Amino acid sequence: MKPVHVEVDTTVCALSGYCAEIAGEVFELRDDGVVVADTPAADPELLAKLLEAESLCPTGAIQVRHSRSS
Amino acid sequence: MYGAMPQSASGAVHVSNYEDALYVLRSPEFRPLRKEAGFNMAYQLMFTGGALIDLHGKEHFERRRILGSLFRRATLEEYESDYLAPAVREAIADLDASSTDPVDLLVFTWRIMIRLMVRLVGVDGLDTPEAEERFAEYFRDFEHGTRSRFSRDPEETVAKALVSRSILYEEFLEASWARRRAILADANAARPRDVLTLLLEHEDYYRDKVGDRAAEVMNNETAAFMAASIGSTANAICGAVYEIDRWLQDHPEDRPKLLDSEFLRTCFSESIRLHQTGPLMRQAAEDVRLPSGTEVPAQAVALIDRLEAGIELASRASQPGSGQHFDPYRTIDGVPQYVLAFGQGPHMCIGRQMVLGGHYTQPEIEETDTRVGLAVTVLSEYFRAGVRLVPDRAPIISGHTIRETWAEFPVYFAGPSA
Repeated sequence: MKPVHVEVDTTVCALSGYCAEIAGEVFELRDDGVVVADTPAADPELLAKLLEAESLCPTGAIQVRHSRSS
Repeated sequence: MYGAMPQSASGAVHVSNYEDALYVLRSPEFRPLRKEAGFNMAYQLMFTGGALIDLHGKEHFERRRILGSLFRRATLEEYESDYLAPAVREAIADLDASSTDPVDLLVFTWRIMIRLMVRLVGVDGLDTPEAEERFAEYFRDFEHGTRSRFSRDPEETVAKALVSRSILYEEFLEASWARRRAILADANAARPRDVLTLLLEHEDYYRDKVGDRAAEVMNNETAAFMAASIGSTANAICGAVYEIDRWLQDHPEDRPKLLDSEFLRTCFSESIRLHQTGPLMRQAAEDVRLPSGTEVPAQAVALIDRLEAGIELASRASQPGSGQHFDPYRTIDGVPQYVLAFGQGPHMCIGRQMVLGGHYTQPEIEETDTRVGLAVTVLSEYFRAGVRLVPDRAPIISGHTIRETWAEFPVYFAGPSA
């Protein structure tokens, strides 16, 4: 499986917290108001959660890049 | 600027510091106001009770997850490219080119937003100018009801809004619900992608959560979407035209930049920092100390003056007080230029990407995202058509509400060559 790449733009993150609710194993809310991404595994179940987190983010701060063949 | 707060707002803890505002809006210790909190909430909740904006915590997240599916990137891309720009161009083309009379841009933008709302929310029966006119006539009073927490005369506002709501439901919404129920019952029918259809798809969820109030709450959900997609957006777009027109008077060299989407998006962001839709309010669940040291006792209401917070934050980067002026070249380190205009935290505006488009501060990492958003699309078409303020006839602010809302916004559309 090809890896999933997740980026978070902390300058626009509004700490809605939805990403951590959906994929807490990847996103973490920190005290300084930043959502950070750990390196995710590329299994299909997690990818679905990451894509939902991306789409639910109100500011578009999350970018998920993945290969459709993965 | 906001007008003076109504009497009912006295007694709130005034929050005008940016860091304090962030804390209140992001913290689970603060929730949307309940009916008992005062501040006209007993009136307000007649229109928005049980809807997304009224929820807190886990229930809010569940609902947001359902409604957020309407705002996926692919949906917004399709909406923007196939529907938005053509609808705006069509409206401008319908203007009487031979007329030299000013156009009320507020009314004009309202009409455009109603056309866009028809698609987003899924309201049928608005396919003639007469029907549009009738909808707009009643929707204006109805919308004031959905914002009655800001009203200076809530009893009168609500009385009018209830009458208008009945008419709107009877003439437009009931048939729209019925049509979508029929579509959902037909396994072969293509389903519209709109708020009404989505709510019906999740009707069991609403019944499970609120029982017999499901229909009422689904209508309130719809009302909140309609209010946000028509009145607030039209108001914000007029505010941007106002600021850009005045900026160009002093900076004519920037006129060619009106063809640049990124410049317009920056202008819009800077404009909504200064023309906010009103203060935000949250109620403390327990005693809280804000970052500045301000104490908010349990059950007290924090009134977040996001206009003042945005001005103060913008002023930090340069001269004291400079943040109250429009400057599209302003940068605020680590903070989007709109500051708190879309809120923050779990209740951040669900339509933020629809209005402002794709990725905001780092477009280089989003090569394929071409969305510019509703605001830039409308502004771009307006300036292409030569919109400009009418000399000696400045736009007028409404005095009926503490929100900054335009009452009249005369402009000329001077044509593409102007």
